Amino acid sequence: MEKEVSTVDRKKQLIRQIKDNNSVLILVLLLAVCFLFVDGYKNGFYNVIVYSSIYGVICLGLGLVMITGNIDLSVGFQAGLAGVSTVLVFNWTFAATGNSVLSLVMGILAALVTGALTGLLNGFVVAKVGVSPLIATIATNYLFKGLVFNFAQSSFAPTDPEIVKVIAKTKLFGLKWLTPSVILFVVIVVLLFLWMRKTRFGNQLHVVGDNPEAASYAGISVSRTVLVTYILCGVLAAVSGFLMVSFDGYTIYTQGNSLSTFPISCCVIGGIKMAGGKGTAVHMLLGVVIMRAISTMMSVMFLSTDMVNLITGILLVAVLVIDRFTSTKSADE
Amino acid sequence: MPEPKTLITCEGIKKYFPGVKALDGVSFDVRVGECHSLCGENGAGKSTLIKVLTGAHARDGGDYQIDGKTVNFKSTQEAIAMGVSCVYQELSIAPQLDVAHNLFIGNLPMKGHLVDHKTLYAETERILKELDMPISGKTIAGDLSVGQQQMIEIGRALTRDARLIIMDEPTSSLSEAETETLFKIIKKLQGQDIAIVYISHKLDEVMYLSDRITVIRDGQNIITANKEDITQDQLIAHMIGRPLKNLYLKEPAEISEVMLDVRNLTRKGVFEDITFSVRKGEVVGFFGLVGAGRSEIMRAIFGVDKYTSGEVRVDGKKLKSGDPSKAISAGIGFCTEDRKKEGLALKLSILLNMTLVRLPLLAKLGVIKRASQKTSADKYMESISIKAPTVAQLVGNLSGGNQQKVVVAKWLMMNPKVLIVDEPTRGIDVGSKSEIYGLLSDLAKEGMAIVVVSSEIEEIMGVCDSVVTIFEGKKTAQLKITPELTREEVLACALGASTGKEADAQ
Repeated sequence: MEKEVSTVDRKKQLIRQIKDNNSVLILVLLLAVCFLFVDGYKNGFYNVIVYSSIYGVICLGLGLVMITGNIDLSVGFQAGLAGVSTVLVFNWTFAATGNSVLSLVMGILAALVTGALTGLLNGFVVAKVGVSPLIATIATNYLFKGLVFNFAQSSFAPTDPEIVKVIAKTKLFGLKWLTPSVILFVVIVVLLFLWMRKTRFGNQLHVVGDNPEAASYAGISVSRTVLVTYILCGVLAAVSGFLMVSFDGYTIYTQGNSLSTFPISCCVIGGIKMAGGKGTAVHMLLGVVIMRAISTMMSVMFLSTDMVNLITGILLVAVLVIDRFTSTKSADE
Repeated sequence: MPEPKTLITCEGIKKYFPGVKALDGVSFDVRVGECHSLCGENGAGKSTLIKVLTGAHARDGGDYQIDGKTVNFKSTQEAIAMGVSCVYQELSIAPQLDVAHNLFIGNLPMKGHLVDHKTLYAETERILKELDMPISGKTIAGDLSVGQQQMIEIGRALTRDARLIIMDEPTSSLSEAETETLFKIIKKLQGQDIAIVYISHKLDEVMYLSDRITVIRDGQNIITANKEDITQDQLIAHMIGRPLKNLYLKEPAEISEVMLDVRNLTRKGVFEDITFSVRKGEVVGFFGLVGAGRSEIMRAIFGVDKYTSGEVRVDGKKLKSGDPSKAISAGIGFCTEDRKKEGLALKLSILLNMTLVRLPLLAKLGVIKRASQKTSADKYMESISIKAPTVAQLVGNLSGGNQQKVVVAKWLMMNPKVLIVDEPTRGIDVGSKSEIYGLLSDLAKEGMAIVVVSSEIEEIMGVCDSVVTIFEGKKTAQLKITPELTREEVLACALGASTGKEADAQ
């Protein structure tokens, strides 16, 4: 009897494993199709990796917030604002000292502090005041957007852009796909993965997202957990914001504009649930790479952005439908 | 025998909410290793008292001591640290996490700053064994049955070196076998000097388990007695403040033509070949273990689930499979098992909840006629005595018994020919139970055909004319309820025995 139970158990676990990690399957299929059928994809592939590292960090932050069952629609302009801070502080320091390395360090610090503050504001309004995260971050998004527009209505560049570009543009060992930003991204993914798995606080994110009531009965402070994830989200968005400046050599308000829903799509396609309680940093990574792989495919094929949007949309709907379909089926069993 | 040591003492505990004195000076104590039951109707103040004990609420007055020292818990965490754990009535399982993480929720074993996964799963294995559960610690909690989930909650207390475990209606979703395991565990815990505060509406459980019993009414403790010194009837009398004549008020009703006719109903893998009928004025009970398929059969009849083969007729008219709106218009009302999840919109008013099914009839060109909506709601507030100031009251603020009445009223508004009630008195106090039974009896007298699904055998035998027993998705017997029919006979059928004692209800 006991044996019977455990085989059923194991079968259920296997089905779950496959379902929870279907983003691996999507990515493998997608890349197989691209490499086999799209001319020139191989040569453009390094773009997938480099772009993923730059836009990926923002998704990591949002993913954390989504795991706790919340949402942050303001990540794009948090990143934008952090980019503005970088440039502002870089230029002040450069004007005062003429030391470009010191200016860079100060610029990075400025971005991180800005991110922590914007994240703190979001977290405070959501976790402490109790405003619905959707509404709260729409509101703060306008706030951040307004600030960014004040500085970066047209492109807004550091006085010494070359030093800033070192982090996203240096090709290590002569490899086009290996930049410091890629290494940074991978390190953050690994750290977040271990943090959520290995530490007590990291473990709380899933509990809070899955059943906040159970969490608070178990003595976990839901509001503190949510506050901390929003701050982390802000900081990670800021890292992304800095990397964008580093990649382009300037910042401009349109950066944040295009980044309001892209990170959500990445997380969802990677396997993070809107309702919370599900997913790891690796899922977020997979999601980003899938989304970037699609847009790289489109640009290699010289398709317009409209087509990119269309195809991304179709894929997203398909993923969500398949997820729904398989979950009702397993509930029936 | 040495004098038993006292673990906790409460003296004159007070707790006020705006406009309500939830606790008005409750005093009681729990000794090391004893099982102390708390009894009282819903709203008597038991839940509030538990919340004060576990640190979820701060008290407004009185003294609360553990080991003779006054404590002022600011959070449940502090209470847990002092050895006070609670198994809540509402499931607090994180359904997407595995069993191990659910057992050690908020209390993961650590090695330095990192979670110790090896210890986590080894300890989980140990606790599962103690709980008699043949599952792996890596099973996702959402895949477990409700009963198993409840056992996980109980297991949680075991992970915390508790000295006092408070159990709030722990058996409401357990099967008989699971309940028995729980009782064994409780005895074992007592042997390890762990005290239990046990709260249940099932008085036979209370009488079986307790060393002492305290009755609470209107926020005050009425009596504390040793189990030997009090009878179940006295207990009920103390709980409701007056002697209760008869809990089950089944009055004979005139039974006439067949209203609900179910033939060979099968849903592959869930239940098969279910045939029964219910006549006007008749009350048919459905009894079986949790998970036997009773609720699933009802869901199929009502059309929430599709069935594979067979047929359902209401008043001679055949119903389409999988279409609740057809079932409603044919005259079936279905009060579901989980009133909070399936039956009610807790954040909305009594008015809207009650008239939800009837709305289409209360509207003209899609616009609801407020006045007639209110009149019909008021009528039922009165006729089945729902205790609330107005129909504008939010359903979430009502007691369990009154919530259940709102669910019943919602269906009564449709003048159903057939009323299916699934676990009508789960988590409801004795007084409200008696009222619900009276209501069912009245409805049968008025000529309604009623199906009662219940896991409480007394309830079935008290309110039904006959009982259908279900075992693993199959009907094992249909027995007429007579004074001669024993509890054991019904139970045997529900456990798979076929008696051949088919009542001629067809």
